[in-house]
Amino acid sequence: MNKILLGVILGAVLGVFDGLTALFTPDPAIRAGIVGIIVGSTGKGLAAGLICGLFARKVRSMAGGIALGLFLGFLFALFVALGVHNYYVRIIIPGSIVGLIVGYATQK
Amino acid sequence: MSEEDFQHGGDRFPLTRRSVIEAVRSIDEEERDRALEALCAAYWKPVYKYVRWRWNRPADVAQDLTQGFFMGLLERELLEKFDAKKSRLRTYLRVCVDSFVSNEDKAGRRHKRGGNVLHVALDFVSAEEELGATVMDPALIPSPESLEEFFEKEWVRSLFALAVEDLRELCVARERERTFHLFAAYDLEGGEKISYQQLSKEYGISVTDVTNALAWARREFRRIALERLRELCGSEEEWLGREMKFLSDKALERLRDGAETPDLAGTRYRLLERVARGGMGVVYTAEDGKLQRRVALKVLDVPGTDGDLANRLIREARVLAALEHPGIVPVHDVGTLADGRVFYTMKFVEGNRLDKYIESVASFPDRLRIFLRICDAVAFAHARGVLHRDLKPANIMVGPFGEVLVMDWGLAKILGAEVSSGAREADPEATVFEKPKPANIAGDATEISVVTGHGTVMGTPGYMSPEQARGDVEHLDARSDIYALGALLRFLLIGQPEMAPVPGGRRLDKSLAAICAKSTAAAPAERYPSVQEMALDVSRYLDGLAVGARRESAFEKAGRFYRRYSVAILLIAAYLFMRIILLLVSRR
Repeated sequence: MNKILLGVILGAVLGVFDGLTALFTPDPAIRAGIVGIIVGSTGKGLAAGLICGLFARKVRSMAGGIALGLFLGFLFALFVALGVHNYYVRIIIPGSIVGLIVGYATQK
Repeated sequence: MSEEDFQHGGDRFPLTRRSVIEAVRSIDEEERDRALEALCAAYWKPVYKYVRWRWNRPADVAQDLTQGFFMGLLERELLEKFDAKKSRLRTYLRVCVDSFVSNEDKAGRRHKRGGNVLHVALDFVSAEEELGATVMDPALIPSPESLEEFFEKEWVRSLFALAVEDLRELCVARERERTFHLFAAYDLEGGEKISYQQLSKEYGISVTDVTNALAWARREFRRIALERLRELCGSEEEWLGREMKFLSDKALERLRDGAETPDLAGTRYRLLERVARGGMGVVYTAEDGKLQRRVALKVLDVPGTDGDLANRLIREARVLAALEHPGIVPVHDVGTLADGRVFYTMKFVEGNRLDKYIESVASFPDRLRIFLRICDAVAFAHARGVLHRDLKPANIMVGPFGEVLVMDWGLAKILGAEVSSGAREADPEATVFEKPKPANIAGDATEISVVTGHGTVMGTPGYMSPEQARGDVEHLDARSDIYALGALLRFLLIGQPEMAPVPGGRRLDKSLAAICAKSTAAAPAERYPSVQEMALDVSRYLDGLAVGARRESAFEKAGRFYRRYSVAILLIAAYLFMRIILLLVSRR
């Protein structure tokens, strides 16, 4: 499969999944804003997947792909966390791991 | 042998393997004397030197013993007991010398002999000088190999000396003394080799004249030496084969090289260097003058275009010409040299034999990819109706860019065509050997035995299918090559073609072991039906898929799935684990 397409699809799917996990939080305010969370999470997954896919098309490096995915996942999640001024750990760690998985998959 | 066999000796001995032996047994006295003279001329020096070296006898005693030994050859009918199937004549004579000297010692009856029987002057003085110049290590005397080596080397020296003398006489008779001087200066001098340019200046002739003269002299020398060898019960194999490989004397080496070197006059090729010796001939590198490129030139050992070997070489060239594939070395040209030897030229492949190359390839997947390229070439040949029949690591070359080439199609069988029945030349690595007698089957598999019954066995033990080993040539098909490929695959993976485990050796993965086992099944029907199917199984293994050669359990399937996607599975597991932890923490 085209690496960019793979990155975009995987980023989007994992982003949706990552957003949906917010339904399991005990905070009713978070559950109320689930749509916004899913859209935001999907957006950052898409962006990370797109960039990782472009990188994979130019560079064949598993370590490089994973590092880039991890960095992008962290960076986008950090922006989101800074936006909401809360839940830093719950947003940044899963976001980083999603980026890492996308980076790995595009290189694989 | 009947008496009639010996009554028509004529002027020359018949050029058969045992001609001198037969002539010595002749009832014709004249022929018998001539035979003994020829035998004595070739062997007296080796015998004399051997007595001096091995038995440490003084010169005068050794002279007596030498003359007595040759007289005893007739008196005691020692040659009657010689059996060419059991040993070479020179080995037999050496053993007889040991026995003779030992008996003489015991009897204590050495007395002067000679006179009536020996018709050649024995130049013991020159023999002593040569003996003094020969480097001999007394510490080696107890070794049977060193005795054989010493006698062998002296025998070759003696034979060459006679041939050189014959060549000198021939040159004088044809008023080509200068040619002989050139030959002597270039090929007989033991010191640093003189160049053609130096010879050209020294003799005031052109380099081309030097080249032509030396080519003629070598060709004649080779012919003379071969004639003498044939006469002396030897054979072309002995002249050309490995028996002479341990000669270290520079002049002897040069004589041999010079005599072997193909005469490329009249062709578009210029000889560069010798590369290797194969089953049928020698491979050289040569430069194609017209196309300005380097080629490999394979030339037959023996002259003539109508022999079985010549037919095999021409057939090999034609088979190669019919197989245009990146994995099969392309043939460029075929023809006959001025000295009567058949040759063909092919692409010169710079690289390593697979068995050497593989030492630098540690990873299994890389080895399997090499194997797949071999399969590709063999499958192509099968599609063209050609069986290789001698697939083994030594016949695979890997080029500098990783290109894999299947070489040596000398034993190839064209499916549906008649197979040459007389191809019995032995390869130095026992590539070709003859069908073992039933009693010998349990013994050494590489032993060369006399053919009995139908079919000559050709192939290499360990890589040869059972049906090929049985000599069942008519029923060979692609599955015979598949057997060899299976053995080759096993060699690539564990370093040996057979299944027997090696202590400390690599352990083979079950799927790969199953592929090897299926392809080397004793019954052809149990093997892969085609090379493509075998290659497909190997490809599936490389891709982490199930192989057709083996049914997996559910547990093994899960394990293979995990191995294939282990990183992704671990990442997802890590993600889920982290998510669960975060949820648990947030609920507190």
